[in-house]
Amino acid sequence: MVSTVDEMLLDAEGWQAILDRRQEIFIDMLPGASLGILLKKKFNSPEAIVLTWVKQADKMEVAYQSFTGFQNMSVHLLIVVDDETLESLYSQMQDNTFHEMREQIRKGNILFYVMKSKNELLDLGYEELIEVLGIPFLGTCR
Amino acid sequence: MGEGKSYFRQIALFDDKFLPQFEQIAGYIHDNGAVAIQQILHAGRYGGIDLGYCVQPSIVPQTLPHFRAPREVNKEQIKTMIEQHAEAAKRAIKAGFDGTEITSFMGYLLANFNSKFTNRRTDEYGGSVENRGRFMRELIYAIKEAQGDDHPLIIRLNGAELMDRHGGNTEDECFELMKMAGDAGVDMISVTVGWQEAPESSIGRDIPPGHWNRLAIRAKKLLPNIPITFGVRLPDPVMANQNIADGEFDYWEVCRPMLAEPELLHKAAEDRLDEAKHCLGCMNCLSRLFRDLPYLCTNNPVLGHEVEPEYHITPAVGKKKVLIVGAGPAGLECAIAATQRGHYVTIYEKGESIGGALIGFAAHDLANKEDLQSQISYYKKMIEKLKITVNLSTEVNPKLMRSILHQYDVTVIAAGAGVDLEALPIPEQEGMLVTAADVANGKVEVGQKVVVLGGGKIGLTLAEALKQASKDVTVVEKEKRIAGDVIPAWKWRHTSWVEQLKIKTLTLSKATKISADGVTVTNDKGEETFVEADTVIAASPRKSNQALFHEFEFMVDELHGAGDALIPRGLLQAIHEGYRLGVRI
Repeated sequence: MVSTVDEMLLDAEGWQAILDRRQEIFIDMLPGASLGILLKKKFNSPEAIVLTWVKQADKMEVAYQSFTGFQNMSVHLLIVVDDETLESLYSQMQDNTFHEMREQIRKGNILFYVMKSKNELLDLGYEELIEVLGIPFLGTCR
Repeated sequence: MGEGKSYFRQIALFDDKFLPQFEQIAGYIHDNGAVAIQQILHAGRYGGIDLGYCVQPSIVPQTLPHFRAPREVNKEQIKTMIEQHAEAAKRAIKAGFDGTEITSFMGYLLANFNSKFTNRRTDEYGGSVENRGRFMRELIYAIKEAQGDDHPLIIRLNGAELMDRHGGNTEDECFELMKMAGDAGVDMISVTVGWQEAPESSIGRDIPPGHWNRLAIRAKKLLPNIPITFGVRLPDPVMANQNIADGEFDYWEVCRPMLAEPELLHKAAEDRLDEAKHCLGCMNCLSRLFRDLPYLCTNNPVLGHEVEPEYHITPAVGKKKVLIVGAGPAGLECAIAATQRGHYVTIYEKGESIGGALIGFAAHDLANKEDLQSQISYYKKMIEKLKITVNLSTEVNPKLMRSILHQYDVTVIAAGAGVDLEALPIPEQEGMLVTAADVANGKVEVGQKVVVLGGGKIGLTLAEALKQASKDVTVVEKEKRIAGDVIPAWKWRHTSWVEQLKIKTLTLSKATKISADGVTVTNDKGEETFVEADTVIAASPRKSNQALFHEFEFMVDELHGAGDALIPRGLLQAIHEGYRLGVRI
């Protein structure tokens, strides 16, 4: 029974099911392309765990790694979420998590760090994911 | 070197070798009776555009992939950067500038130190507001010392970063820093709003003019003895004048409105504001910048081409009689420029008023309608002032052309684009399928259930307005995504509105049958969906006016085209092509 946000983050099976349902988003990604999800409250914690989605040869797969600062992060995109937002994403697990992520990004509830340049992300095949999540790709220009 | 550079073709002041050019610029400003202030900008988090990395107080990765990977500066580098700023200030004064300005907003270096979003240092430059503001204070002291008391130093500071939800400064912290800058001796404060990566709008057309004035008012109350300048989403000089008279701030700051209308201040002073073009708040200028291209302005085709004679209005060598087909932005721009050059221009317009497709588009714009409508008011004024003949409700066709044969030396087809109805299924019931233009211009009424064919800017603008008017709206788009023809800076706005208004969209789909009670939509997999509809609006595919070109080819000496009549695109191309044609006929 998953009840806390920490357990939600660690529900590998649940996250994998989400990815498996929307594999078309990741089809163009090269192996190694990766996204991490980190709980905001763990930002300065030595025990922080990052939920990662890593593109394998055939599909996007869930994995976990420790967070020891930005410099050591190997993911290309890092999502930082507060407890409430993660709960909201998790609650949409059976429905449309990506739409919920997009909504939360738009509302400013998800902070999205990019560890690669625009051209690198394009070369790595991120275009579809970026579109699906509605990440302002060229500057918000607002 | 180059760590501070944020934009391609950005001017630089890091060496004496640039002095002659800066002397020239200061001279131009003084010659025109103004005070010359040189901004010294180190872009910090948004810098290093040529280097592949940027420098920041701490390593905080980018949230916008346009920018470069961060490196943390050490204390020695901080010292060097402060010295470089002071040297640049001294250089600016040497070049003849009266003062300088440093800038702590948008996410540039100074803002990176001030904000707890990007400043996570644990030394004396990080932590508390007092510590985060240390870099700013040292910078102010160094520049003041370098340029002397006779030369003012202005600082641009965020009244709101709009980054607080991401761990940035709160408004209270912003004002604490503002007070700190005042205490450190700055001579004027410019209050600004937002960072490039802020998750909400600040300066686009979707923000009402005057929306952010409260921040200037707060600054003025906080620092009554320091002049406050302000101009964020405040494009109207009349409004700004009133704000100053009301004591909200001391000086109006103006950038984008003067990109759109370089003569804005002169026209305001001469009570000719109705002859001034307005900033449309479309953000095309910034969206170009984020593609590493020079600024341009939708409304000002000359911007960036000021030194090129080909862009200037010069007297025509031979005065010609010019017939312009269409009183949309392309035709009107061409008419105004050609008339100013001495040509004799007559416009024929099949509609009942001037403005073309812009009339309906502006009327349905979910953002600030007045911005686009001001464009039509400007055209009306210029037509009247230049006494350009406009024949309204007159469609130009081969018959009319035969009747006026040899009366004109030049014909310009600027009749806009239409919708290619032949590419759509034939409706089974008459009146079921209507064009976007007819709906936009109020020529037809739509039912409660509406299907819009085409999820580009025209279809979306109508869909949003209809949905807001409580219609049931479905958008059918053949491409993978909606808003494909929308400029990058506005694409997010449309997709956001579509989601907020809960407009149903069917992508990778097209109408395959239009029956009396709805539309059969088929997707790329061949699956059919029936969408109930009382009215079907055709907004796509758009079609140029090729037939007119073919028909008139052997009727006139010079035949030109401009705007959507050539290739359906948008307002920017219409304005630019119309103008460029007008200055060269």
